[in-house]
Amino acid sequence: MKDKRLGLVRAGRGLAAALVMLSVFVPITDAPAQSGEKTVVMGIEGDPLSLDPHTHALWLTARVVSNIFEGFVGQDLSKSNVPIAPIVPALAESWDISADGAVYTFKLRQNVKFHDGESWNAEAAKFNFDRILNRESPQFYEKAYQQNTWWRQDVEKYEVVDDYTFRITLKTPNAEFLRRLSQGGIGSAWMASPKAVRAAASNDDFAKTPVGTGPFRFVERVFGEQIVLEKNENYWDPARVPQYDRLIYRPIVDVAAREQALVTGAIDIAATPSPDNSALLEQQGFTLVKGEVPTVYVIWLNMKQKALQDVRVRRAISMALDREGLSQKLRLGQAIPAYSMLNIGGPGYDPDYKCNAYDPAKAKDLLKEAGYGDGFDVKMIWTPGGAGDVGMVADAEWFQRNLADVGIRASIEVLDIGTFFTMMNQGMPEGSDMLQISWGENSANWLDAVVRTSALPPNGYNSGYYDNPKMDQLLDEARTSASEEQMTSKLRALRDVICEDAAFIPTHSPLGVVATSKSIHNFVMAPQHWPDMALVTKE
Amino acid sequence: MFGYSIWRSVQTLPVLLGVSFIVFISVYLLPGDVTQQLLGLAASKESIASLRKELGLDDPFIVQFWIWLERVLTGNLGNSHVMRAPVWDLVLGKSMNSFVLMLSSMFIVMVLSFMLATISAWKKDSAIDRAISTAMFLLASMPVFWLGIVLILLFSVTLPLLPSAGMYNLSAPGGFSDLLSHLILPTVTTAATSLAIVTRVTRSAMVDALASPYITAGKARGLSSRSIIYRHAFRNALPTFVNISGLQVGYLFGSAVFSEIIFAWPGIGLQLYNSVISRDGPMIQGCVLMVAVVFVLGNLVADIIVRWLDVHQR
Repeated sequence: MKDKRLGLVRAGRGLAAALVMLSVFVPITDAPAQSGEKTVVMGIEGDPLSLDPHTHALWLTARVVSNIFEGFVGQDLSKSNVPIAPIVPALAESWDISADGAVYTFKLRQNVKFHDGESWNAEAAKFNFDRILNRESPQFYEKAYQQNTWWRQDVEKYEVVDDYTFRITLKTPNAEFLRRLSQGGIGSAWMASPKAVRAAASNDDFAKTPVGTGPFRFVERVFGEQIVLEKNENYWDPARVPQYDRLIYRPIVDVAAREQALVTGAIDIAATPSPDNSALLEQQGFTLVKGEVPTVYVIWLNMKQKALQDVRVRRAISMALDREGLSQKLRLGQAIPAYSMLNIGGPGYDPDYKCNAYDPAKAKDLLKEAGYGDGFDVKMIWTPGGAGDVGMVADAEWFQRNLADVGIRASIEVLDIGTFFTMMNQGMPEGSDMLQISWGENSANWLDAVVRTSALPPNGYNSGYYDNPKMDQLLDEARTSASEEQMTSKLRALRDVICEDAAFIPTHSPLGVVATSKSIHNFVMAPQHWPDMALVTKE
Repeated sequence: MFGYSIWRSVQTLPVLLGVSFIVFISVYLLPGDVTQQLLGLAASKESIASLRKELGLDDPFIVQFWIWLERVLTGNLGNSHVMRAPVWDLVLGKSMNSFVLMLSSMFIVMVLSFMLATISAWKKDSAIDRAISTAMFLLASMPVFWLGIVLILLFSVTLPLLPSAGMYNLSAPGGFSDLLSHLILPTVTTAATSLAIVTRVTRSAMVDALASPYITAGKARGLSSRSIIYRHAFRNALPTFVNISGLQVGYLFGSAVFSEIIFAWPGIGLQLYNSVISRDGPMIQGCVLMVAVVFVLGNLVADIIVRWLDVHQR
């Protein structure tokens, strides 16, 4: 009996020693946050990339960067389910556009300071433009130049008129120019503090300590673990001064782990929960915020495959796909059927538009006409997707069953996202017929990388070799339109050509979804890839 | 003894070099590259080309090989392509987190397996022995990703006792006790397989030791069970116990990837997983090398301890 007790004491000592040892190695984080401080923790789908506003590359990163930086104009993200996020003044209070649509004169907002105290004015604007556009300037950044082609390509010159007036002259009118100035996701025309850019040892270093004018200030980042922002109490727009103290982004790649973290209270908001668990989360008292976002899943067809060279076969494939069923049954109402390359939340979107819609009987007839009455084999190359994609392989299996109903025997090969992107860039390999990826922006610029002849592999993502010069012409005409109406009509003409050719097959637009704890309010799922976190409140 | 330690340490260098070479070849042959993921799909062709040039991805194989060799030999692994920071800094940070998880798992594995193996061997073929064997068999058969989720369901959701994500409560970091509470579930999950392995192997060694003539002799002389088990039998089973435990060090450090993903534990396994997904060559190198170093070190230390325990070789 005595011996046993001794054993326990020994075990206890061992445990204590182990704990002491542990505590030596453990990097203990700061003392508990001051009482009364409100922190909102958002679990996101992956680790964001560079936090440099001019080169941030992905909307996953734009989601963080858009809190720290802003441009001349912004987008009002306070309403969900509007056709497109409206353009609103931001660092420019107002602007004039010349009658020919080529000269933009911005009146800049006064008394705005960057987070480091540097003043915002026309010189600061010029500093940023020089960084992106002027090879002669010391701060010129090649990567920024390349990542911003989509909005800077039409800029002829820019100049400081006076302290608070900045003028941009375009080579041709561009009906979407303001939108592109407000848009992020690749690079952006969002403004960085000249002082901070100069002080940083390198561009990479600036991305590690980004300084802007936005409603949140950058505090700290631990790669793969957290990005900490705090509220900018001096933000110029009182309506968007955050009502809480800290905003922490925490990458949790696995969707189940992200949902668990919400359920156990480790995070307040979980980005993109899976549709399958929505009902369960709601039952447990969590709020699901849903809204239309500018995403569309599109099927690329390989035009080099013999069967797919026949437009009747391509249309038959489109007509075989039950988009309604997928949206309602597989995605449980969290998707909207899509028929157009003009995505929801983007220019020219028409909710009533349909093209080559579900009609299996007609699909069979078309196949018979084309000489494939006995069906044929297709190979689908798919991917589980990148950050923000859920259920893509289940989609593929849904399409596979749809195709089987009209006699097309489909096999599915799944690649990881890295291999998949490279394959897309090199063009669809011989023997492959279909692939799918999600895309879409609230500006039409993404189509440049997908449907143009200049985007044919290996120069872009026209991976199915759709070689149609009409695309180039219509996209150029759309971009250089003087009015929005004209742009819309050109884009819709482009949409109709693609539909006629069944060159790409859009299938569905998933709703943007986040799950939040009960204490989170005012999270708005606006038609954009990132929400306005300044509007969120926490009890 | 000292000479032996030096000699064994030197022997590990070719192993590390070999590991690193295999990783280099694998990353080189892996389809897909980091640039598209860094720049986004809408990036221009020029943008991708200049990044590939900057990262040296277009260099011929022999040049890339030379750069790799230089980096490995000088110990400077370069910068992460994705995070744009020195690989060693990042790897060391993640290693610390993994180290915490490894140490606590190791602690559980060694204490519990020693106890279970001793009881099992002493009461060989009894009900309790069979119960322990069955339990270990079950434990070893449970996939880590399943066990982790079940534990979360039980202890975080049904009985909201323990946190299940990350190392700290980010809303209100609570220091050491906060860490301990976050540590429990990942530790149990990570330790499960190793616990079963070490228990099974140590039990066999104990059974063998207990069947030796000198134990019978000891019993005949009237030594207490305590003395027979701890002083005589376990002494002989100890080298096996240390060796098999040493193997677990590397395993627990590098293969905790499943529990790190499930519990969002920011360790080296999770980092390696993310780096492979994003094709971040230098980071993959750094993580694998780090895991290999710990693996080799674990074995090395075990070997040295075993040699020290062995009276004949001391």
